[in-house]
Formats: sequence, C-alpha cells, structure tokens
Amino acid sequence: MSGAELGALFLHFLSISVFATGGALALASDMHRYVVDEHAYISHTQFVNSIALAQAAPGPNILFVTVMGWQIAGIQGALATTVGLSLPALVFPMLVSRLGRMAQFDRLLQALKRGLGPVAMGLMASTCFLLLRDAPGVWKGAAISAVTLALLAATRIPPVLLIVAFGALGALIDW
Amino acid sequence: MAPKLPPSADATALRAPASAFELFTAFAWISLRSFGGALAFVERTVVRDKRWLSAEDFLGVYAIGQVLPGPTGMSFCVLLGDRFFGLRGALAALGGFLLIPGALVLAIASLFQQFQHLPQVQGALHGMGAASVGLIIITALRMARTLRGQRVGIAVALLAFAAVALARLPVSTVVLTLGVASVAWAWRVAR
Repeated sequence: MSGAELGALFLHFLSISVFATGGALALASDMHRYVVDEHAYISHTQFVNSIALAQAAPGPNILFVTVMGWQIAGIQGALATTVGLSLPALVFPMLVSRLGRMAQFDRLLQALKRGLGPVAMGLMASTCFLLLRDAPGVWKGAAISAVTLALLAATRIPPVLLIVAFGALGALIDW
Repeated sequence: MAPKLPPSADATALRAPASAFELFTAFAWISLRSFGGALAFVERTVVRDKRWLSAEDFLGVYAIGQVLPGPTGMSFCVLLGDRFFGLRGALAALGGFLLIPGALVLAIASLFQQFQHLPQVQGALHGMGAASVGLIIITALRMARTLRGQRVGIAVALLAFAAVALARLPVSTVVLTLGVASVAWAWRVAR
C-alpha cells in the first residue's frame, strides 16, 4: 500500500471518528463502504472477522479497527486506523476541560445526548443491516446469529462465552 | 456537569492517582478484563476500588464522554487522565486502555491468519462472526428501547437508517445535517 493510500486511510478514520456518537460499531457501515466497497482493501469476510476477533479477545470492541487496519496494511495500517480513530477522542475532551464551565453547559449536554442518541441508533441499525445483507447465504450462520440473539435476550450469559463457544462449534461442523 | 469540578462533599474519601503510570496500569487492567462493554469495570475501578471519582462525578464525566466527538470509552480515559495529570495523564490512560489489549488482539489475529488455510480455523471464524452479528443486533435492539415513546427520536433514527443503509450516504453528511437538526430541536425543548 502506498504512503498516499495509507494517509487517506488515516484521514478517513480520523474524519468518521468525529462523528462517533455511541460506539465505534455504529461507524462500521461507513468503514465498510470505504475499505470493502470502494477500495476493496479487504473482503467482507475479513471485515466481519476483524469484528469477531476483537469481540472474542480481551479488550474493548473498538480494537476491531486495529485488526482491520492490520489486515489492510500490517502494523502501519493498524496504526493508521487506530490513531485516526483515537485522535478526536484525545483532542475534544482536552479542549472541553479547558473551556471550563460555559453558560448552559448542562442544557447543551442534554441536547447533544438527546439529539445524537437517535442518530447513533440509526447508524447502529445500518451496521446490522449491512452485516445481514452481505452475510454469505449460509443457513448455519444465520442460525448461529439467531440463537446468539435469543440467548442474550433471555439469559445473562456473558457475550464472549457465546462467541468462543460458537467459534468452537464452527470449527467442528461442516459449513 | 462540567469537568474540573470542585471537590465534592465526600472529598475526604476520594483520592488522586499517585502517578500517570498508575493511570496506565489501571486502564490496562480494566481494558484486559473487559470483553466488549467496559463500562461496568470502569465504574468499579474508578469509583469503588481506586476512589478517584465519586459516583456522581463518574456519571457526569461519562455523560460528557458520550456526547463528545470520538468513541466514548476513549473520551472517558482522556477526561479522567487529563483531570489529574494533564496531557501526560490523558495519554497514560488512553495508552493503558489500548496498547496491551491492541497488541494481544493482533497476536490472536496473526495466529488465526497463520492457520487460516485449515478448514477448522475458517469454520471457527465463521462461527464467531455469526455470533458477533447476533450480539450486535441485540445491542441495537437495546438502544432502540430507549427511544420508546419519543416520536421525534424514532423519526430521526429511521431517517438516519434510510440515509446510511439505503441511500448509502456518508456518516459525516448524515451527522452534519440530521444530527445538527436533531440537537437543535433537543436544545429548544430542553429547559
């Protein structure tokens, strides 16, 4: 991957991070558009794998962008996506701390939360839509998704246990 | 609630981290124990074990992290680290949150890649990916529950979905138009 492409990748993750309202997974549909649909850096399967690995491994889910960058261009790619996503989270809190208590800060906070919450919801739904739409038409995969969904809704099983268990099951069955 | 709050009523019980390094190790430990949602571990460590923030301050700082641009967990690390040691503290907390778990997840990913020619490894990734999809859908459904009864909120969520998923518009366009309009509306109705 050329330096220019790497720089563009960094800038793309930097720019979308500014719009992360409610988790990086809400941004997944936009990342998919860039790295899979537009530039074909990785396949849809690789994209889903990076989410799955980050959820199964210790650490925050947000590290799926690290795995994604690594699949695109090794360590340099991992740094480009991760640092790009992290920079706004470093800059804006520092700024806000220094601006101090502005007039009507509480009201602004409430407005941002109430106003951006539904947008985050719509973005999250887009991510779900994309993952379902591009899922390979394998009924076993759909069944695993459905069973995971039902178990998480009905029980208090930690999600990571289900991911590891279905990983083990996936290794054993014939796809 | 603004950051840099004056000491709260129970300040006698609170303490500051001894060094930026303590912030690094605390957040590395939080991060390594959290599979996915880190919030519960963050609260336990920061409020109950370390006593760096009161429960009330924690919610205030977390709320600010949620609405600031950038992922919430990272913003929270920076707000907390910055409060005690400025930029050095912010970098220490954020580094603790990302560095060791990041190296670990890359080690796991490269292990999978090395053995990806094995059908079992392919199968395991398929299984994990499918389970992840189930997890993401339930997260979205739980988010959706908070919109119950909010007619404007539901309309905004549907519009955002239509714009990003169906019309394939960039997230930035949607947040800058719909997001700004939605916040302006919420600002007007907030009192």
